Amino acid sequence: MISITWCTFLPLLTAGVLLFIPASQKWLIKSVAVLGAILTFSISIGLVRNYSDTELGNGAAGEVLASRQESIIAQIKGTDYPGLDGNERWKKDFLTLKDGKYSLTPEQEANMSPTVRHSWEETAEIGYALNAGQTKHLRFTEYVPWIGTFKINYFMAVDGLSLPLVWLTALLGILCLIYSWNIDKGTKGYYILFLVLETGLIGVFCALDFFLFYVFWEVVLLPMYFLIGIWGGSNRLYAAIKFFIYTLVGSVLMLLAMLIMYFTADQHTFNMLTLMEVVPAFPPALGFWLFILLFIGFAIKVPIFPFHTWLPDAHVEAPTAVSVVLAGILLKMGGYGLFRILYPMLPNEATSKFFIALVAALAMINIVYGALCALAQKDFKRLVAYSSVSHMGYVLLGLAALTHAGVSGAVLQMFNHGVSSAMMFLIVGVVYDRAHHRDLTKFGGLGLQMPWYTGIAAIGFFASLGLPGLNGFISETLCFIGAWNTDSSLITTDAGLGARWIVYVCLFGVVLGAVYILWTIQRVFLGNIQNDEYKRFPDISFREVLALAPLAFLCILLGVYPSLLLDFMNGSLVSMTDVVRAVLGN
Amino acid sequence: MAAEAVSLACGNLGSLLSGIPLLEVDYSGFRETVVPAVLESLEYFGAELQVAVFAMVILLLDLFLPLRLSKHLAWVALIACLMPLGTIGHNYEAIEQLEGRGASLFLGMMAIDPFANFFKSFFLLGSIPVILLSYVSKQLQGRRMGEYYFILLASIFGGMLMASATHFLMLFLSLELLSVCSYVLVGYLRADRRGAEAALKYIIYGSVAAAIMGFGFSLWYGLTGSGEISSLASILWDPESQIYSENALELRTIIAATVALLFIFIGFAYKMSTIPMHFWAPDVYEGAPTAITAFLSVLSKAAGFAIAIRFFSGLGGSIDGLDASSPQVDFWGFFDWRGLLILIAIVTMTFGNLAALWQKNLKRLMAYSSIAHAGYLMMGLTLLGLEADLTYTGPQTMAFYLLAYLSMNFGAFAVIILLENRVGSSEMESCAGLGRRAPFIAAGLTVFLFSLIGLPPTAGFMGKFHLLMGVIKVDQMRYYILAIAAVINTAISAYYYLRIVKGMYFESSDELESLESPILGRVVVVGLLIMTFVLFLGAEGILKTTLDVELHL
Repeated sequence: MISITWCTFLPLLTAGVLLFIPASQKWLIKSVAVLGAILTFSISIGLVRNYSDTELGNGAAGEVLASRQESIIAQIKGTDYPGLDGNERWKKDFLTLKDGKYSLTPEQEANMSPTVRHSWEETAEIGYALNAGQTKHLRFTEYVPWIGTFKINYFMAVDGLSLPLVWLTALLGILCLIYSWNIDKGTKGYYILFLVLETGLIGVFCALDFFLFYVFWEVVLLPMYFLIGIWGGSNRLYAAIKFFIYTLVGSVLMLLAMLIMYFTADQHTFNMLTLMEVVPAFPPALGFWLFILLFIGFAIKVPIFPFHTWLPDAHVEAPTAVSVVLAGILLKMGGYGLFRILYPMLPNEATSKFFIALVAALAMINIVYGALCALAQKDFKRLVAYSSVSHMGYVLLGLAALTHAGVSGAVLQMFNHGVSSAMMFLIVGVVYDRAHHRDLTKFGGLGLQMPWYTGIAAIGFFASLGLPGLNGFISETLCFIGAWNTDSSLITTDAGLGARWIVYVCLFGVVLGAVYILWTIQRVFLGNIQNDEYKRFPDISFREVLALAPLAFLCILLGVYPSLLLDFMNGSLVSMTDVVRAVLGN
Repeated sequence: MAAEAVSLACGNLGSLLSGIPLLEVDYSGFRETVVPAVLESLEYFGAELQVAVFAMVILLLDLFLPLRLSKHLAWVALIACLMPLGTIGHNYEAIEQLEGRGASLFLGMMAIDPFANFFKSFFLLGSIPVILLSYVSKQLQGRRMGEYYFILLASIFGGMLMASATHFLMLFLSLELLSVCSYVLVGYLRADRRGAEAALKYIIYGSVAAAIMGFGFSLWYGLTGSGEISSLASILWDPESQIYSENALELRTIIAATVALLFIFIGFAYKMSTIPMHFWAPDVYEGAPTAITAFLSVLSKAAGFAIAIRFFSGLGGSIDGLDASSPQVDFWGFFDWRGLLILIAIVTMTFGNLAALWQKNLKRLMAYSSIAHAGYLMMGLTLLGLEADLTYTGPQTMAFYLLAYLSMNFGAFAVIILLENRVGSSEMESCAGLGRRAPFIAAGLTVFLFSLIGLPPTAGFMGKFHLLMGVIKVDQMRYYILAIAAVINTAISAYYYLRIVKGMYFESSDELESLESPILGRVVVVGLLIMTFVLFLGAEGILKTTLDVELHL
């Protein structure tokens, strides 16, 4: 049971079961859905516990791929190839393929039968994949041929980069389903769509075949569209279609880049590991355009300025639990794409002055502009949405730095933002359920009326602000250290920006972050109760505590003991950074 | 032996057709060569004959059946479509053993090759949902259905001939057979004013297109003295001395050939409903009985594409081992027909999608959507004769896309028909609240629409993916522009398809009465749903079939 396939498709399976439960049995539907989510989460815990960066086994990608290669070679050995030097020569040729480097003579090309050519290409493809820097960290690999004509495989595996995100997805899955217990309109559809969404999200983080990745990426889109459009707020139709079209444009650009990579690579492959080895050798002009296409595709999802405008709309209109997933996981898909695909596959462009300057500048704009926008908001949820824009800027900053510290900080920031923004949206949801509005100017004094709620909310807010002792502080600091460090001269000197002023400006963003968060706390919780109606508000309910407490616990845990996660990710991230930096020659 | 006889007879028939040297023809060989050749060809004509015979049988049966039983002739028509399927495969195996991958029938009039077989099977398979939907549709209730199924089968017969036609005469006849049948079917609801108007428009546009195409053929014939589709190069190019004949490179020849090509394309464009002959589509689609709209949007369009593929392949030179450096390519070097097709493809898909944005009637919207999909399909036409790697060539990619298009477009129309049966209108407002009133067909329509957008995990995605693969494989700037136009169009099209989804799920209606549909209608929807998913998940199996779709004559 502890396999990625189960972890990915169990939610879908649960959704399938829900189809057969009559819509009137709401309690049963909710219970089954939560049970499915809990089982998924248990599997993800199993994956985390069994994951070992150093030891082989557990379906290490290297072993699985090598055995697949062996079996192809074994198949080929049995047959004879007319028109070539004889069987022995072929065997030798095939065996040298294992390291992936090969070149065929025109004569060999001409005499190869399509089947043999196919096997030849796949052997070489796997050979490249085995050489890729990230391969040694991947575990729980599944590699099954799917659409052989296009060489598309069902290739799934996880490493230190993706596994924490899988775990977080599974966790938020449970919390959101529990929090959504009071959804009364179309309960069945809601829970089914939510579970389909979870499958898509986990699949995105596990897929190592570009085609498969794209499929999961798009699968996420559909349930999200319905969740916003049916269960959303008053302006939900606009928000849903805007979200859909925006992300669709991004993903079709990604599809183009994917196909161009496929055909430019000699092997014709969608295998991400192979592409990491092969794509850097593409002509620079092509690399430039590929980087642009992929960057826009991921930037829309992150979202990076100027592609961020769908986010506040979608967040404001989405129901609370959907906002939680949107901020907690969906935005991470974009970030994950940058780390898994864009940078390892296009290191030459990633380390070029132009793109470093571009990414760093966009990081700066995201951080400061997002914070300024948040400051200007009167809608509680819109404020949190803009704070997401600001916080994802730190991810970009750490990534642009391309130092070990910066990259670790960036990935940790993705995880931490997943936790803290999820918390913030739940906090907004709690107060919205009671007051039925989100106007910040009309709150005040809730601290007196709802002390427990205020206590938990404070943890979330301060984690988001970056208070030492809570998780946000660690990751933001690491991003800054990474960007500041002289080793990361990439930003400061090579890029020709002259100085570290980008980092200064970003630091100013932290101050702005403190301003809008403290101001919000003041406006919502402090002071006197403004409206007598608020005196009737009950304190936070058990269901809400159940959803919030695990996240609050994570905020504190990762604030005090970040090595728990940092050590877990370290091996994979160091490999990734080294691969990208290798083109610099240091 | 057979081949010799055919080629000999070919010459005779050619001169028969040309008319001028008629007096010089020696009829003494007729009995010895032409008659046996035709008889031999008839052996491989079984599938078409079956359809034709069944059509006659239906017409006869209708005379004796009382009115209330007449609609059950659908079942006879269904058998008429299922039975020939086996014959097609059987015929092909027989001829493959005799002649290889393809052979000429009826003295060069038609071909039997994997390409023709695919399209014949496609028409037969595709007419199954049309027949079932006609049976279910309320618009067609209470009428004599004998003529209807007779004409429907006749048009299928025409489509099958189109798929295998290799001679302009055959091409014109089969195209007109399909067209004339379609005119009647469009106007089948005589009392309906919009139907009558649609039929009239269809006829007028059709006649103009046919006339222009006929003029194109005559120019072509004047140039080459032969009516065979792939005749241009073989006439102008002397294979022994490896040079063009003297008049081939003259300016007037070149101009005449270009004009002929453009005129012939007009005829195809009318059937494919691409720019510049797309104007008829919205009105005709809206006015025709909905089952016929479905028929026009899938099968009639596919027939147009089949014939266009055969024609343009003849220009590009993928036949008989001619590669990209073949004389045909040189001859057409002065006129970039691929560039023209790329342009038309981009304009067609963009126009279709932009126009669809404003539509309020479902059938009209689907008309513009089908224009847009014709644009996507034309991506495949631009690939003809380019590539040696058979995985990504035009016919293969288009064959897969057509299968996908069949599943999703028929699916969408099936739901529209079921909806029309209950609500009596195909306006978009009638969709409001459908998610609650008829959850099953609403969910079905949602899947079909997502497939039409081209999102995984559905057939539409796989089809578009395959076409894009072909286009990007070419690795030329203009093909990249085509690919970018196609993906941007995908995003545009999402808007209007989602408007339907929005109506079904996000808007509530005052009517809360449940709209359950008849069991047969649901069966059709389920079948097409399964096909939509199988074409994605089991793409490997389907690709094995579509990748075999090759032209051999």
